[in-house]
Amino acid sequence: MRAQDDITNVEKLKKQPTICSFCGCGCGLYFFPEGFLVPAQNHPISRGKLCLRGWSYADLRFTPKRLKAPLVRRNGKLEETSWDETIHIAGEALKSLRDKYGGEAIGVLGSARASVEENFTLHQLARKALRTKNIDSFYRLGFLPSEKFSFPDLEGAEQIILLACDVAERHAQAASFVIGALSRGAFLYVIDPRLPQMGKLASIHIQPSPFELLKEAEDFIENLDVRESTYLLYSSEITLYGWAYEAQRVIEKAVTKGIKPLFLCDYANQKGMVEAGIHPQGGLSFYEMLDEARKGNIKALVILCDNPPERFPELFREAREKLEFLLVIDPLRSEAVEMADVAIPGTFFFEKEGSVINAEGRRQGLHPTVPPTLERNEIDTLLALGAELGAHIPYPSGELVEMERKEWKPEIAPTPQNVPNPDYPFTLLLDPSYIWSGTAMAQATFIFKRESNIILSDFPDGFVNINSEDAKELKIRDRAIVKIETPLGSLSLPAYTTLRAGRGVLLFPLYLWEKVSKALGGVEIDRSLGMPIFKPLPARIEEE
Amino acid sequence: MAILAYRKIRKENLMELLQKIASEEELIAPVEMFGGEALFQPVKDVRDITFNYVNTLFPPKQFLLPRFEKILTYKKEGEEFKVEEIIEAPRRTIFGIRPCDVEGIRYTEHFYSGKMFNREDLADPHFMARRNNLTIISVACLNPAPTCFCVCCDGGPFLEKGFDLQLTDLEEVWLCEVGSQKGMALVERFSPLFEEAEEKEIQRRKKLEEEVLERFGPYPAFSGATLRNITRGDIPRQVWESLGERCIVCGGWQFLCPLCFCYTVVDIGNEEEGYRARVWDSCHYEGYSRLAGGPNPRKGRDRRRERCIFHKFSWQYVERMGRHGCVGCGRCVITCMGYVHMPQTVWEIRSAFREEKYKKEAKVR
Repeated sequence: MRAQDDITNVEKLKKQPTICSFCGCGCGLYFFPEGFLVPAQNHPISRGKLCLRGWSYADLRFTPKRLKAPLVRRNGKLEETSWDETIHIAGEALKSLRDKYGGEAIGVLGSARASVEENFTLHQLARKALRTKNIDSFYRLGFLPSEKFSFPDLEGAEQIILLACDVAERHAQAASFVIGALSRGAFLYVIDPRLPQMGKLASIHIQPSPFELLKEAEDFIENLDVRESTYLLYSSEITLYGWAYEAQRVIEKAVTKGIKPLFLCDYANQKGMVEAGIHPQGGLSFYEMLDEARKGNIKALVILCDNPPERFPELFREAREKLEFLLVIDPLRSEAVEMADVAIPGTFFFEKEGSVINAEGRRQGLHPTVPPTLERNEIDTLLALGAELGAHIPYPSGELVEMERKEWKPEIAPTPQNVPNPDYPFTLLLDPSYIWSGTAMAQATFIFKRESNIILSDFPDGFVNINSEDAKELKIRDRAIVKIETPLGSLSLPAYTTLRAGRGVLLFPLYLWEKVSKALGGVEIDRSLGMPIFKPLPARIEEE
Repeated sequence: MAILAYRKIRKENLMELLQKIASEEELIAPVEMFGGEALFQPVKDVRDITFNYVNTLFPPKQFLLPRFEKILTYKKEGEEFKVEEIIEAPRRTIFGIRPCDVEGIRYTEHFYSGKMFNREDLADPHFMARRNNLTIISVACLNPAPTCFCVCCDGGPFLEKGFDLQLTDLEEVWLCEVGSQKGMALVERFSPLFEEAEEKEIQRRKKLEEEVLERFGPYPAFSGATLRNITRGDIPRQVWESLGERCIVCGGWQFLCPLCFCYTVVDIGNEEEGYRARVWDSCHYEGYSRLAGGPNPRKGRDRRRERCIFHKFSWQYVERMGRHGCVGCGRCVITCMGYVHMPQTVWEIRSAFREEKYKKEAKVR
């Protein structure tokens, strides 16, 4: 039975909650077709609270960026086409490429914006129909496997350690739990070279040099008088300060001391996506896929609910020029859709049936709460695509997905890293806090789009954050153009003086990294995770 | 406006009355959701209505001031643009609304009708059309939630004005107070369902009002002193900074507050055709007060919070709006992510004047 068949009773469906599709907290909310939402009060995570992103989630109902009909590129232009014809064209193109170059020339990208079932079907399509091992996702960037936990436990915490994570900016609901624990008398320790909002509320804020963060954290944990309920919160930001190997060592140390580590996923269904099989399984990782595509070895890409140009604009553009076929399935008319050969509309979380897994490992159901606007959902599309390619893909029932569930435990190997250099008194660090800025999801909202674009509208080509005290000593004025030198190169940027950067630290927003990567050294890959890693660099700064 | 008349209505007759209203126009009433929460929803069958709620997390302001509202369409015709206003105002009755939300509607109406500036020609046609088509049947509170503090804010638990009908649960019957001509017309139209109220029932309602006052929870917000301090402007800077440090800038307070009505306008479409929509906004967002070109008079979180509380409690607004900007519904207590909700803010402002370290600065100002 098609998932959309029984969703005609709108009155009944309006009463079902759905899940926010922004960060990994997984807040429950009631979504109404009139384009407004109410946080679910009895939901264990949202508790009647939502962050800026959660409230803006309602904007997606009437977003002008919605992809409304299937598009096929004809004579260089995307034209509206019927569903059956579009799927037929996409199927034929993929089939001919598969038969000509073999399945290994096709790459498949899953998404944390899609449900577990959709990712599972995509995985089945890749293995059975496209016969490729190249399955991965951009949304795996910074994902580390972790244990299950429960957010409500944080409320009863006695000690909370925030290890290099800006929860107020990235995981607002987790920050709310932390503030709740503080109001009950918990101790908060923040270990971060920046001064995040939580740093001001902390009992102790340790501001080490970025090169020494993990060592300092290890020392701190070693000497901490651990109480009964002590929690360590960390997120993908930790991989910026050292390689995953060292981060893992700190976490293991914490566990032996009786501290409960909580890994905060960046995206809604990141964990579910990995469990559904979207991670490298002997094939290429997402970065390697784009890199190989740029070299001409990958001929076709299938992208589900993702917009790679938002994080790798140059790389994706170069890869696109060499690709023979690009299929994008996405509810949003993103940059990737504009570059695609065939684009098929998808659905949002509030329009589909399925399940998602949040940072805790909590499996939550999705229910369509607005009447269907499209003929087909992603699962229908993927199944039809599979049939076009001559393979039988089973319908992703709950039992089947659970049976095929894949644990992903990579062997994390040690790798060398940058060392401090006495000739360079500063450290250039990529600041991952504005993670949602520039993403297709943020651009599709009204209020959050405005909020996330504020800094960029002041500094369109990026900026470097410098500590106000340091700026005073070096006589650097606010918003002056400065020259930054590293052992690898140099570039000019406007300086923005704040207290957010610690002494001796320069911050540059991570999502703009391609603007500085040429001058300051390219990306390096952590081979064991297959992920690009952005390391701190020794730097010098002077006003031009 | 004083109470026009007292009536009573039997419980089964009330359901009959609501069913009749629902068959003629849109009836908005609390409905139990999947997770057990009650929310205001359009109701076709009165058996869906729940009475097992204290207050809904969302005030019914969505039905007067939708979160996303198309206000006009434009289309290019030759050289000119054809612009058409969209006014959508179905006849509606809200049943089960609590006194605090009724006060909220009255406050919002004061702004959108232009009465705030004594300029009724500035009235917002979209809001006023919906308000004029709205009948309010409120239900007085007998069991306040732990988060409620309307007694401190003149927002309940019983009202004297603002409603068309106010119902009070007297166990076997509902006492019905008629508060407006619209309410009177409703009672007369369905007069077989109503009965004259007896004096002892009116006395019982007054006794209940006194009893309810004993049942309020631990969240006081004594607005009188706050109003004085904020109007004088002698609140130490550290208080706002301390509140700002804990604020996560979610904006939820403004979206859930029955008295907040800030909005922004977005144009959706292309050069040929499209529409303009009005979307809820919050003064806690940085982009709300950012000016063209980049300067922002309220850049810090503390400044934005100060401005919000100033609007709610400063005398210049109280004088123009007829009341201060809090009815004590307690929704901010539930939704505030940083636990710096209205009672907490008021408490911190008041305690700042008791603490020695602030005293010096307070006097200098």
